Amino acid sequence: VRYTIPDTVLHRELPGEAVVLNLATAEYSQLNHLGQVIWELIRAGSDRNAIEATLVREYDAPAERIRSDLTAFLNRMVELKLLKAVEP
Amino acid sequence: MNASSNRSIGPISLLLMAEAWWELLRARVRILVPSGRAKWLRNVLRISSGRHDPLAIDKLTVAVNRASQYHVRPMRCLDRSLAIVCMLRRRGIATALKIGCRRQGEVLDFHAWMDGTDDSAPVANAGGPAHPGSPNENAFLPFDWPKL
Repeated sequence: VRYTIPDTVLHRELPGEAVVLNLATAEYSQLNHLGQVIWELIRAGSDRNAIEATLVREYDAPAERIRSDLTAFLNRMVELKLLKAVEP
Repeated sequence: MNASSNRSIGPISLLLMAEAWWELLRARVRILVPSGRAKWLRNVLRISSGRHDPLAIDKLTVAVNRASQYHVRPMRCLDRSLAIVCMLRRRGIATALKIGCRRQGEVLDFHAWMDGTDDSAPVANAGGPAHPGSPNENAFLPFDWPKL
């Protein structure tokens, strides 16, 4: 699965976090460090598997934990319409 | 000496106020109606081409702030900024809407303002104390331009 950022979504980095806001829905979400890393990977065009592989490689945490955290994050962002899932 | 003064508003100011009142109403309706809202907001977030005219910006800002007092519902910073941006663009003056946020303890604050766009610092703020680009660490930081 690949994710795209809707063109109505704005992004702003703040000290220690970032905020994404969808103009169309007025929904927003705060991104912590890991969220920002995932967001940048999505911006760069990475699909879900590539994001997961990068996180497993870069972070010292069990792969299962990373997978479930990533799934929860992506599902939440899609639910808030801050990301759009694009099936291959 | 009389501490109070009764300043009358001239016909031109009244006309400006009437235009501002109507523009505020249009802004509120366009924000509330989902259809076309995002496209319109993205458009006003882009810097428009045009001349720079700080005097006109000041005049219209005053008109919009005055007119906002004659609406039944309180007009928020987004309504006022949008009204000013639309009025300035109609007059060929370069401007853009800015939307920003800042963290205040546990709370995330959002704010909208109008930005004069002649490569200088913002020239007017349509409803809040913070100016982007100021050294004030509590300033609202504008969102990045959306990809178009």
